[in-house]
Amino acid sequence: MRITLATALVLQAIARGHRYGFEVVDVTGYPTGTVYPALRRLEREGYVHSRWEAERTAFSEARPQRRYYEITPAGKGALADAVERLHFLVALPMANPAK
Amino acid sequence: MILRSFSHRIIPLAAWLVPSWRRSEWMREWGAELEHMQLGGCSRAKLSSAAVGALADAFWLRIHALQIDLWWSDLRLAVRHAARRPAFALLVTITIALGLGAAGAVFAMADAVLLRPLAYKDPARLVFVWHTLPEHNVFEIEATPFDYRAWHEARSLSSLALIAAESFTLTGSGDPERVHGCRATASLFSLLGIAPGIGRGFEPAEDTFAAPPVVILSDGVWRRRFAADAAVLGRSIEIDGIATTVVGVMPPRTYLPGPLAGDDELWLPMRMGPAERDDEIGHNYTVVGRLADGVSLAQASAEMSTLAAAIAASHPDTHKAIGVRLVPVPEQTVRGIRPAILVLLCGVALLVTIASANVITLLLAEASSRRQELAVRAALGAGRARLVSLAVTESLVLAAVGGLGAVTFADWAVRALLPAFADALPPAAEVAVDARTAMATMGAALVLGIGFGALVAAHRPAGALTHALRSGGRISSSRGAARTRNLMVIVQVALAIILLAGSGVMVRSFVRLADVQPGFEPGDLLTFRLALPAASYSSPEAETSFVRDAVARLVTIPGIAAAAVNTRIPFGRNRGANGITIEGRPAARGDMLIADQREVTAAYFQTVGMRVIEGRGFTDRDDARSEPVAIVNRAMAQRFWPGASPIDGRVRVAAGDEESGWLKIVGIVNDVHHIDLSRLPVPELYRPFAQMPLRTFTVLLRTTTGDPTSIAPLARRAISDLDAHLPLYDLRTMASRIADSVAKTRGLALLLFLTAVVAAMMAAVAIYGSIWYSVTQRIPEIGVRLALGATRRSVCILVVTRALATTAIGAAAGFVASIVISPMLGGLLFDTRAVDPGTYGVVLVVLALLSVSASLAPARRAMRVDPLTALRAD
Repeated sequence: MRITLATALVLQAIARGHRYGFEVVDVTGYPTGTVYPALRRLEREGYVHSRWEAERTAFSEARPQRRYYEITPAGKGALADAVERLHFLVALPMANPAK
Repeated sequence: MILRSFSHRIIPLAAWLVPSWRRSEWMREWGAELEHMQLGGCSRAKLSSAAVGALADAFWLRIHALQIDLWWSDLRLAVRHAARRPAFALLVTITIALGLGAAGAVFAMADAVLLRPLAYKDPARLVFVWHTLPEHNVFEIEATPFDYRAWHEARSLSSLALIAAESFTLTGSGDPERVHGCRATASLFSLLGIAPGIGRGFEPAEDTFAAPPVVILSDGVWRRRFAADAAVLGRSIEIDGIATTVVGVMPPRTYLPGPLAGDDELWLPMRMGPAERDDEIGHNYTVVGRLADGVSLAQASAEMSTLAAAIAASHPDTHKAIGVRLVPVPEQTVRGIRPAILVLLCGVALLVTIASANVITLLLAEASSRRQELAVRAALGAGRARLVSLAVTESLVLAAVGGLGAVTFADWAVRALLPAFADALPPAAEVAVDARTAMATMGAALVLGIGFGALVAAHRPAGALTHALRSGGRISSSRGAARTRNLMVIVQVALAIILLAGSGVMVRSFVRLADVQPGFEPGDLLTFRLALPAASYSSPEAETSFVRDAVARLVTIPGIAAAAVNTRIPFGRNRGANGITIEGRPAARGDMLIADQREVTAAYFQTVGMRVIEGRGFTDRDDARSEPVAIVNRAMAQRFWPGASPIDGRVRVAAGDEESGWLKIVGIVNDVHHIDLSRLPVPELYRPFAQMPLRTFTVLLRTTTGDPTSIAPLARRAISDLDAHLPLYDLRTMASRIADSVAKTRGLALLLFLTAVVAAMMAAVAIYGSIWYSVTQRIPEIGVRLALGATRRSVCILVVTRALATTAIGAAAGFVASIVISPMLGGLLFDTRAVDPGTYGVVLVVLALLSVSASLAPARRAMRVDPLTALRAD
């Protein structure tokens, strides 16, 4: 799979702990029309996998369940390759651990 | 409510684009995301903008699903279509399987022999260092231990190793056994980059005789005789009667390089004494070297030539006119077989082209008969891309099945045909249809599949299909398509002619080679070798006595008419070339006359069926006490005594570092092809075994049982009765030795012949298909002809003539191409011209007969046309 800059940024965001769609949209600054197809591609290639969070958690926080994305080992490899090519990706901010 | 906002209304709308199987989850995710944004205090504008992204997301999912759907749909259609026309599908897949299967089999051979690097460290830098005798037109002679030492001066070779291929008698842990092996200097292991799997290699000190005897076992002998016991290290075994310590075991399939490769079961250190180390005339050692870093072959050759000239100047008695030649090890390894494999590769390339042309013809004919169906698809909105995709998928399905068949066929072909070639291939080459060959074959099948599909699609443009729909149900062929079909048939005939002509001359060459009279009667001859251990047979008398007793005992066995001994039998791969001196004819200093020397017992010539042309043969009275005598062959008599008789003349023979006394020539025998049938006989000198006994020799038995091998157990027992510890080895019929010597020619002729037969069959199918199709197209015309008074015979002649005309055009092109490429075969032929009019004539007749046979069924169909029905149909 060809990793574009946008896809690499989305993958990097997930690797840094930004776990659901709008959070990735927020942190990358890309529109949803770019981020979601990128997520679909990454999931199809096995670079990320997704799961719905536990219903109890969402209920306790009085919000709908989120769909969380996580980077896979293959995704880490692909990201390492991409980072090597695009050094500035490492400048992305870390997620707030308290969040 | 939130859900009433624009952003939330857009989700259900966009969801229609999302494939149904993931729609609900998609909506759930987007709903949750938008809700989170809203809970987080996003503005309505930002929310709407984010929701627009859902459209893009949904659209992406739809496109992706659409592609998969379409592909599945095409695949289903293609499979269904193939199932509806099983005969057509079978013909296409078999054609692909045969064409690519043959190619796969030859690729497996080429891959193993030519493409894979040798199993040594940086093999491209390894070279054989040979002596040359340019004045005698001899360019690769083994070196001497003296040269090996002298060549160490060369800076262009970073290291050198000396190897002597020998055989040894192994005793202990089972019956005595004679095994092949080598003595080598310690440098061999680091030079080649090989090492024992267990234990150690040789130490430099073991190059000299002072070191205690040690041995490294091959993996084969370790498993066979020592049950793969690692405790064998340090154990003492007996080799040629000498207690020897096992210090290592080589890994499986480790071979010496180039022509030395064989069943090397024992690796011994060189352990040279002073005499052997300084030997200047025993050309029995192979030297391998490694080019120094940054040195080219040309630079190393130049330096070695300079060194050779210096040695020749300083040692004129032994080295005058002796040069040096470096040959890269990879080149030397494949040199004998490479031309044959390249010819086979060309052969299968032609076969694949024929198969491709055949498949294209079949697919085009099939597409032509489906114009109605395709026109309907086009009318219903299938665009050009869809039709191309369908055509490619259909041919891909057939090609994939054909490819699987090809891999299976290639695997079978390699197993079935390899034995025909086995003796001509380097032992290290493992020829098999492995994953690499299978992937290459499948890859080729898929590439061809895509190509076929694209070609077929190019022949049915959408516009033409719409026209076909308007023209009703009648199937008609455009002039362009008919021309393409004819061209394909002509191409196939031409290529089949090339293959038939090429294989024809190869077969003729093989027949001529097999017809060469070896100079004796090989039928009913059984041969085996014996090696008398020095410990038990320490004197020439003991050796002579054993041989006399063995021959006397063997001839008493029922079924053995005669028995004899020769130290170097024909087709035994051992020449024994030595320098000779003729009495009264002083040779120029260092100028050697060379003759092959053999020691034979008195009954040898009679046993093998050779003739004494002049003088006498040997008798039992020619023994150690009588005058030393010799018999020469006709080639030696004619070369060294042109126009005169050598009888009563005297010669000396330089054997090793000794020179014999004068030998009186008492007879002339006929020439024998000793090395192989294609080489002219060389000067040979026979001596009585009793006057020059050797410990290693071959026994020849003239049998009368019809099956020479049936005598083997009796012969083995007779030898065992004389010496129970003496292994009898290399037991083979003379016929099998001769057959092995022509293995390469036989294998190449067989494989090319099979390729040509398949090609001819494909060409016949193509002619059949083309003529059948043409008759189908011309049924109305034939009906008119018949209605106007043409006889059915004339219709038959019309059809057959058309087939013959197509064949004639293809044949003409094929013969011209054959003549153009004939030089490729030149080096592989024996006594046969690459352009052989006789063979070409036979090929033409075969093709003409095939063409007539292929056109008979269509002709019969044409003859049965009912004029009224045909005209009504039109």
